[in-house]
Amino acid sequence: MINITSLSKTFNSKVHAVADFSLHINKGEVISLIGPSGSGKSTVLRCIAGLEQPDKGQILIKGKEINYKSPASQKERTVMGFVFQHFNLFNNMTVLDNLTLAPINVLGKSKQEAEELAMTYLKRVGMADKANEYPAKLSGGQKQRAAIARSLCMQPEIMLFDEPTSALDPEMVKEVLNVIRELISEGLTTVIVTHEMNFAREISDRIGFMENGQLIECNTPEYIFNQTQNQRIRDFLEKVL
Amino acid sequence: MKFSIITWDVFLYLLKGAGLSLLIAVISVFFGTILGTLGAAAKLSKNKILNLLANVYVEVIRGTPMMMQITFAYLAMPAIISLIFGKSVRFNPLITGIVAISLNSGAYTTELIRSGINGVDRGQFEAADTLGLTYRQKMTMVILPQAFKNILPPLVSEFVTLIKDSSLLSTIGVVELMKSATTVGANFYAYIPPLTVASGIYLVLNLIISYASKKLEKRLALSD
Ligand SMILES: Nc1ncnc2c1ncn2[C@@H]1O[C@H](COP(=O)(O)OP(=O)(O)OP(=O)(O)O)[C@@H](O)[C@H]1O
Ligand SMILES: [Mg+2]
Repeated sequence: MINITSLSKTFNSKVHAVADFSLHINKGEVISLIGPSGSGKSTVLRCIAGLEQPDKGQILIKGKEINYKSPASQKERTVMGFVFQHFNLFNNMTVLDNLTLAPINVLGKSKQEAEELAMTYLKRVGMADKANEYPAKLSGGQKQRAAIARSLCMQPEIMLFDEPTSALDPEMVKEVLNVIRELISEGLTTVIVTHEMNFAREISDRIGFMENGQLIECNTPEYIFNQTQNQRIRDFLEKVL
Repeated sequence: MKFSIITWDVFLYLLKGAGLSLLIAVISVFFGTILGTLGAAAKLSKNKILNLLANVYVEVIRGTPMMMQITFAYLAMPAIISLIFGKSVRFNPLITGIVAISLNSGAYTTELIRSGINGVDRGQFEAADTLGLTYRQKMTMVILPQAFKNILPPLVSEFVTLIKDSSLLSTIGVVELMKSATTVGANFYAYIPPLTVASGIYLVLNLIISYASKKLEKRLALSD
């Protein structure tokens, strides 16, 4: 589903954010990326989503490279949904308009069709009663659930989450994790960057540990948490658990 | 001080001048906003030539006095045209003045709009990108409506500035509020009354505009 080969990304020709990163993600697989701050997890995810241009390497989505410079990419890239740490709901429109904007303008759905779909997903994330609110009126957890619903309205085959709960107050983390957990159970291919170790352990098929832009190890949760011989991973997990 | 010279007729004459000042400012802020939008688009575009053109425009205008720009447009441009075409021309002072002020305002508005757009959170751009919106959809549906809130307050102060700066057109013979006041002063050999009243008119106009804009800002802030 996602084939990443020798991905490298440098910022300002100094910082090696990602160095020679390769990973093959199968359809329906759930991958968590963990690792210390600045290790390049977000950059990998942003390269997959086309928010950063890789310097080297190749990213194939469903066997095809997406050329983000071409207008055709606008529609192609919607096979992926992206959920941001800071939600990024459009501040100038209501929750419902946030959810229907792209289905109407990118997928060409009718307003009615898009609104029905939006309401379905809002119900699923428990936000149906907030459809007509502006984002500013919502709590962090509500914003993130609405943002997840917005991604789902594009009916993606892949979901990318970049620390979806890191900007939330502790009491709201759970409601968002529950929503993600439910999504995953439906078989969406998922890559999630997270500092919620227990959550990663519970939901992932494989967990990738990154350090200094490199993928040090990528294996089952059981292996990463209990069996790995890699001292840096052990130290890291000891510190965060 | 012979304030008695400000009869109803004289006051109406000053008001007429004020009307022209306001008209100059309205037209200039209108064209200035159009120029500013184009300028900001050029500055933000990836095209190097457009970047350069916009930068030269903004720097030249901001780096020279407005008085010079107006005088240049009124006195030097006709001279340049007659040099090139061998025909002598005269420019209409009002139209020339409005063109000069519009060009001036366009440069400042370019910067206002550019920074208003840059003031919108990067995340809004990125969310629009990941949802597959085209550049145009992203700008018109997501970014510009939000940038507008950043742009409105400084745009209103630009308008207030233009009302005041339109007084510079008195030097090329446009009978706006400033020129009306000095004309009255010269006729009656008394400058204090007309200049005081004219100043009051400028002040009241600008206070009204500032007040209205504060109200509008409050209403726009409701969705925040
Ligand atoms: N736009 C950018 N400009 C310059 N440097 C950047 C940029 N984005 C990331 N970096 C640098 O690249 C490196 C990797 O950053 P990245 O955000 O991918 O790390 P991360 O693993 O997601 O960290 P965190 O857990 O703190 O989110 C860091 O050193 C960071 O400072
Ligand atoms: Mg990150």
